[in-house]
Amino acid sequence: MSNDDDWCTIESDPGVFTSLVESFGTRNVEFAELWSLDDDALSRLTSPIDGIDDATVHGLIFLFKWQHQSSTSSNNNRDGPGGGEGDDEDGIISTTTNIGGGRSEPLIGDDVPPGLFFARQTTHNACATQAILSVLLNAANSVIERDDGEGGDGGGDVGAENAVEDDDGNGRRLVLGRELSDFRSFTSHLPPDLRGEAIGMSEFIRAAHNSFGSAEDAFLMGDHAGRTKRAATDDDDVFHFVAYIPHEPDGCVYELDGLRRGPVRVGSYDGGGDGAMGWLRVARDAIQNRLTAYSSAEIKFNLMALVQDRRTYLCERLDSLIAIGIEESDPAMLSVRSDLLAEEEKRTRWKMENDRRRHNYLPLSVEFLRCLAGSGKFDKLVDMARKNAGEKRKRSEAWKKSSVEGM
Amino acid sequence: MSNAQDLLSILNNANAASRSSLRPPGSTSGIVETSILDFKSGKMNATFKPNGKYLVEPDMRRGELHVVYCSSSSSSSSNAAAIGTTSDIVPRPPPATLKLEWRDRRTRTTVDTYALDANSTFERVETGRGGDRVYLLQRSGRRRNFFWMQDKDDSKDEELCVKVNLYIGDISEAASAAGIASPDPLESVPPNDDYGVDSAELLRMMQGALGTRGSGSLSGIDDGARLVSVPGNHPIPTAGAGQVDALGNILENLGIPGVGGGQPSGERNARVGTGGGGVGTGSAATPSPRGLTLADLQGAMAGLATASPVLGAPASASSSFSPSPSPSGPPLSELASSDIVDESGILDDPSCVARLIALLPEGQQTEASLRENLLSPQVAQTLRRLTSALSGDDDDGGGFNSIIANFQLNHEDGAIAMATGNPIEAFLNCLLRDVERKEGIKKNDDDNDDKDGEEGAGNDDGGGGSGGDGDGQDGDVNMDES
Repeated sequence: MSNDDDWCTIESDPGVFTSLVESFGTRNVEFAELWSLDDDALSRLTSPIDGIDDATVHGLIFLFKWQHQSSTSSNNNRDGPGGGEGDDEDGIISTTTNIGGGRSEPLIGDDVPPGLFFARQTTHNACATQAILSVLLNAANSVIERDDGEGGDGGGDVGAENAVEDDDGNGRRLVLGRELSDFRSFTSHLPPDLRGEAIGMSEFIRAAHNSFGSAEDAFLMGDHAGRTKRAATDDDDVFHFVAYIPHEPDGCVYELDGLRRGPVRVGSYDGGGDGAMGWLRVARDAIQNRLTAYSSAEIKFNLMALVQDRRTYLCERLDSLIAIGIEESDPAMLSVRSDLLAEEEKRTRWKMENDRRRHNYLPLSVEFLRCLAGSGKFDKLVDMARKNAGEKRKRSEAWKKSSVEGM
Repeated sequence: MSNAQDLLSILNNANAASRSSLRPPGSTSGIVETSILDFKSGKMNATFKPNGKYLVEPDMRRGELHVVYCSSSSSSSSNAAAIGTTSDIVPRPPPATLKLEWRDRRTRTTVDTYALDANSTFERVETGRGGDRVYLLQRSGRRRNFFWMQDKDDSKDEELCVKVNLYIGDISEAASAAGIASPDPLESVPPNDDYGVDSAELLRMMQGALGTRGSGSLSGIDDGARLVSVPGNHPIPTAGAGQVDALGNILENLGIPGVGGGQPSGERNARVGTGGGGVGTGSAATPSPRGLTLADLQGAMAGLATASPVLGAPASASSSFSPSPSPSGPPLSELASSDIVDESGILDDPSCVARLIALLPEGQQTEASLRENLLSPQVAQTLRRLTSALSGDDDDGGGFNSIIANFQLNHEDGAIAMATGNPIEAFLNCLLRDVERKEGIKKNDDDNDDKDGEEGAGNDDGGGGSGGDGDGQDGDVNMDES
């Protein structure tokens, strides 16, 4: 059984997740965060830029976070995620029946559609990565590697003419990467619980995951992966990830929850007519059903979509504009260039934030305190800090009180 | 610091031993005990750590505190006699007393009993964390006891606390709560209870303990029952010089200043603390020019009993606070705020900026990104962890020491704050002194812009800087763009 101590917790952030999958060797994808579940938000995924309305959405990853003080709920039934051991059918989420009109029982054994990758969760801290893998390894039309002459098809599709990019990343296919592709083959004949174990024991996956932990933990907390040694604080909510994917061969949407025994079919969609919106709506309805069981004080959640790298669309657009001889000064051209620039800036910002996450800030922090001490105003500054801390505390107590009373 | 720890163990054992000898097992005859108030509460255990502070941690057992009113209709004179030389306490029908009992809700047993006197108090402790509900029982001359409220509903906390103090302060209230006719007020020193070890016995025990190892040598004193029983009627011998020195060492190491052999007792009497006042006048008086007197010990013990512990968290998170009156250090992460950075002016100081930039992540080592980095969630998180490590939240409590060592600071600079149980402040003091010594502190004329070209920080001129505001170091200092 993989040990929770070996996996640190990582931040649920599109920049972190994108970088994480890239460190697996995956290409041509990115994560986009959704702030709402309405049609507008969904269509921003399928129509990232003008003129494109069939952008691929590989899957949705939904994060539930239980808040610390949910003593108001009947929490006994929902203690938060366990280790995925139990054959407790409902795991931690209350029974949701008839989601989206489909059956809600998890599929096991021969009922699982062939080719559908589902793994049970065995390590709590790894659950983000596990959900991400659930989407990646089920992505349709993925290829193993870039076309270096060796690329083969991954997701069971033909069409070498659609095969993949040249070096600058154009092209639409999700590139899985050699390691993940091997992992998928290796585990394809295993039952879900063993697949989960395999994830937990994969040094490759774990190392990539842990590279997003924080450096100064080692000094301050002891010298192993560190974060788990911390006592639970109010910041440490109990959390759980669930993935939603479209499964092309049978035109159904599946909910992949590592704490349940198998994938759950939540509805069907028409892949042809609506593009990605078809399956997204089905998934959205399933999510909303799940959410109705909770009050807003009990859980926080966020939603991320794994989509195609936005730059690929922009580059294609750019190429086609150039090909038909559009001038650089043309508004269409300017618009594409500016969007591309914005995307690059986004990536730069992600990189900068990831560098910060990895950086050991202890020397800087202490030097900063020394500089404050050297300013000659130390006492005053410390007093200011005390006051601020006191005010924050009062505000948070007042808020806590009011939120409890408000229940 | 094992000496100090042993001392406490000895005292604890002594307490236990004496308690059992003073009070017959089971209830004393004729005493009626009524629980007049109870509420769910947990204990907290204080451990004395080698680094000189207490770590107080919650005992997770589910329990309750009972305020128990004890009235009696007969005199238990046997108890008074057992106290020995404290024959000054005249046996008489014991007045009603109050005690606090902690009971284990699971086993339904009474685990601890705390005798209450008129000076006892029960108050809420400000831990700096809004969620904590920690209360402190303080009794004259004795160790503090901490408790945490276990009832999910905190709305009654204050009321309960007030009631406890009410009963202590006004025994008639307690009596009526118990449904009994009003008695004499609570005495300042409960005559027969677990106080057991009076100061005279205390001194004897300590001498006895020291004595078994020969004079002066404290090495290897170990735990346990080395209570040397000395017949109760002797006048207290003065401790030998070597023993007194050794004792003085222990007490000094405990952070109790000024106690030690070699000073005339006359001076020291003034320092008698809150130790039990009513005890054997005969025993207090053997003055000696060089000896430790009972009064000294009482004072020292009182000081010891009230040394502020550093606490671990009760119900949930780990954090630290000091119940002492001195203001505690703020969480360090609060210092990395925009208004504090601006107020400090460090971003206008080229040498500060240069030093800080060098520690930024690669690819971000520019002045432009410095401010953003300082205010980043990552720095805040680092400072929170540092705060937490300093507070000794983690297991071994050696957090403070190893951090001080790692940054090559001098722990003595923080000794005072540490003695009052405030490691954050201690750390900040250590930093401040270190910067004074090494880099110098900038002088600020409070509301002027021009600073006479004095930039203390970053200059190693004068070997040690100005040591705080207002010191003169005019004219020598160059302001470099280095």
